[in-house]
Amino acid sequence: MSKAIRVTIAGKDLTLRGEHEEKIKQSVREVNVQFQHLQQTLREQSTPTLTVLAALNVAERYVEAKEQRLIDVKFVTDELESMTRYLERAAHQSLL
Amino acid sequence: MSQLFNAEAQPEFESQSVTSPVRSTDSVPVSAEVELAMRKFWDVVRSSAETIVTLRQEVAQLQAQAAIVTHQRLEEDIARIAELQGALLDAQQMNQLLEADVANALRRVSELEAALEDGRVAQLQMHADVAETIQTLEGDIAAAAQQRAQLEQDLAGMRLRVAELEARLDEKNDQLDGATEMAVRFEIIEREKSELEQQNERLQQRSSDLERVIDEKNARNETLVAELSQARREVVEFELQLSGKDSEIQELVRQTGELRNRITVLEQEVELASMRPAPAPVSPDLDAAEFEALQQRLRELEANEGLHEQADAELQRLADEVMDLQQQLQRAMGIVEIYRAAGLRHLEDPSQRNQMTLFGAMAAMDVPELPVHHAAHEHDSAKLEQGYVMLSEDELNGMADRLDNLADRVAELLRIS
Repeated sequence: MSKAIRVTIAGKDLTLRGEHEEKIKQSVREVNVQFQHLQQTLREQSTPTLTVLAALNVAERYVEAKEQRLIDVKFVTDELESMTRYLERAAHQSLL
Repeated sequence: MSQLFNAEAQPEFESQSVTSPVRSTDSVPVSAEVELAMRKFWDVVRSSAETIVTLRQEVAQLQAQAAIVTHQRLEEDIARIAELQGALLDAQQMNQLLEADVANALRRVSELEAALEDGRVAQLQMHADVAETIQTLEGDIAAAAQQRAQLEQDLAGMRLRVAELEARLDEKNDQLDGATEMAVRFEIIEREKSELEQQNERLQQRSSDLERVIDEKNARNETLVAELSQARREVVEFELQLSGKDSEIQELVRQTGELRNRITVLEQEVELASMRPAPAPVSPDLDAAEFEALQQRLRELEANEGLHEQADAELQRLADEVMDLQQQLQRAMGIVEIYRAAGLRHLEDPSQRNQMTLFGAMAAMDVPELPVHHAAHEHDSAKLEQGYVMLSEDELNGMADRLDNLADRVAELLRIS
């Protein structure tokens, strides 16, 4: 059941709704880390620009994570197939 | 453990394992967490594979053992089943026997029950009989008491009789001891009798052996008789030839006398011719020829004189040889006559078979041995009258050898081939 969660993102207080409060807070902290990092690096940029850049960095990390997930899934799938063959050989290969 | 599987599988999976996780050509590598997790997972898979192989090997071993155990159990079960079947048959047979015994026992029980009932009836009858018998026996006891008194009197008399019989028994025992001694003597006599019988059997055996030897000697005797007959024929032929030689010798003696007379005449003529003066030769050639002829005749006569001396020596030698042969022949004929008389007497009169001592038994007779030629000349007639001859087998063989030698000498002398 969703509930109201009060958070502060880029210095602005917001009230959010969601079922997983901790996951929401962890995401808010990730966005704030990105925003503060950009704010310290790009002091002359405005808050909306920094917010867009933070959103882009988060989106980039999301894409990278998605790609990493596909690679990991494929690796794990291949390894599991190898393990399956290995175990099948161990189970069915003739014994001396 | 799974040595085969590890040996084959390990290199393959090492090359494909997470040690080289970046198999794709993408720039993004596999995440370290996934790689670490897969590395651990591979360890688990390898250990699981080894466990699987180990379990398979153990299963195979257990299956083999189970087959062996099952086979053994099966054989044991089959043997046990056969044993139980045999036991079942035995039990069935025993059951049948027991059933028959039970039936017999039941029948016996019924019979005994019937017999018991009969016995009870008989018991009642016996009670009555016993009572009657007791009464009868009481009367008998009284009679028996009287008889006992009588018997005691008889017993006293019998004791006296027993004492008398014991005395006679002692006497009989003494006689029995004497009889025992006689039995021992009888046994000794029986044993001596058996020994004598055995000795008699040995003597009979010896007699049969001697008869066999005598038969052999008789056969030898016949052979020698045949040889002697042959020798006699040869001697007769030799005498005929010897008489012919005597005639030749007489002829040679006559011719020698004539030659001597002729030589004497010629010597006288030669002597007269040498003393008479030589006449005037009417014909010198004729006198020379006659003289030459006379000289030739003289040489021939001188040569004949040498031949005459050789002929005299040869005649003397032949005369000595003839004398020696005549002596040997005379001795041989004496031996032959002795031998013939002894052998023919045995052959013509079988009752004198055991008296024929020509062979063998000379030592037992303890007669001194004499040479054959002496015995033949000195004792032959007396020995013949006594039924034996002083000749042993060796002497007879020696005599036969001498006859053979004599025949050879005669043949050599007369040049008979």
